[in-house]
Amino acid sequence: MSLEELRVNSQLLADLSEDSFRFLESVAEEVTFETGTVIFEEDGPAENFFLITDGKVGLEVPPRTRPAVLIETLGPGDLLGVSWLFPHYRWNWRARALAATTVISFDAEAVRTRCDHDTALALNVHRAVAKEAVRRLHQARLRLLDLYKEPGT
Amino acid sequence: MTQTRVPTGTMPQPMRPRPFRIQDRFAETPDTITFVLENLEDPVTPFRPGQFMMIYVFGVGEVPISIAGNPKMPHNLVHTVRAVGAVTDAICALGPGDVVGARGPYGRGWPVDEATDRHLVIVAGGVGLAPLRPAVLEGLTRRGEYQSLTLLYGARTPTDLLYKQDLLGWKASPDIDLEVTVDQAPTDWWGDVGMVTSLIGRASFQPSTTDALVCGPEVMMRAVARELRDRGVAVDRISISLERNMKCALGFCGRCQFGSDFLCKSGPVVSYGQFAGRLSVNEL
Repeated sequence: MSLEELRVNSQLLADLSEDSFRFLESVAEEVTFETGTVIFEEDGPAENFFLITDGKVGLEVPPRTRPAVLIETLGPGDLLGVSWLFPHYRWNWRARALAATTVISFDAEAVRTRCDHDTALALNVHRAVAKEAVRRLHQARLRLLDLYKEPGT
Repeated sequence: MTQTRVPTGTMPQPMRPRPFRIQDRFAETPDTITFVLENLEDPVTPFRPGQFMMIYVFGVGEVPISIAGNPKMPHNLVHTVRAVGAVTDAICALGPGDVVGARGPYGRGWPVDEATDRHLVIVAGGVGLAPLRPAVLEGLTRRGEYQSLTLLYGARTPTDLLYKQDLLGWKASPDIDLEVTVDQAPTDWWGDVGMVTSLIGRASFQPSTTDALVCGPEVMMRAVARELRDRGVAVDRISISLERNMKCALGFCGRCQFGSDFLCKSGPVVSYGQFAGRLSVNEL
């Protein structure tokens, strides 16, 4: 799937000027991961961020002193990677392909540098990342409530 | 004054439980059991998806339990019961051959007829899948009448999923799009991890021609309804199932009053568009 095809429905790409869009296109590439491939590692350098176009990605706590814990799964249309935008540009969790997965991978450093003077791009990027961060915050709060433990039907 | 005497045997007796014998029981989870009941007075017990029965354990008490079976197979009554109190504990302790009392079916069910020619999106959380299972089965039976049929199901863990055999069959079926998510899972889990709301954005349906049926904890239903609304589903096309303390189930006693409605009659299935305001009233 090309970046052009994703343009309509992606918060990251919507409303971008043609110039900013062409820039993002120039630092993006389609990448495919086999099932089980680690896409990035906890505390590793956040050199890329990703738009998932197909498949499934799990955010995990890696198995250091206890078995791995799957925190959340992401799928088509989701933005994979938030930490790349904020110092010290390192990942907080491990991301692993849980199925054959295709993503659009962006060069994080190139985008950060461009955002320093392309304010329209910076606004779009920050909105997209904030939207994803807020979505995950809502999800985390709802899960904290342990809703399904309540008596029901 | 002339009085007309009517033999009491011919009068409707809406409060009288009819005897049902337990034919079979299946443990869905450690605290949730599915029962298959046989009506000992009538050959069939017709019902609509989303309706409930008042189940009476003799000498213990009576509780409302949603019907979880196939509406096209009314010869048996299927109920899934979670042991969360004195009566449900007593029900879950019963086995094949035991007899319970049952009144009903009662209440307004899921608007599966109004959803024909549209996308039917069913969103369930936890044991909320039980009252929705008849709607799923009806949707599959009448699959050609709907543009698409989608089930999004969230639970605590893979162990807590209801109807695991159904889920495996539905996952493999081309007639229904099923996505399952849990709050906590081992790394070999085949489904998703996260709230059921996260599945809505990824599901394939046209919001402007979608009817959504939602059942689960009230906080979850509010979050799901907002997510559906934000995606473009009309709030009057979102149905939710509300529970309050049903007692008579006939609209007399008032125990299940929710604002200006008795949920045993106006519900348990109601329009989110009409009830959203009441859901934000404390202690209502």
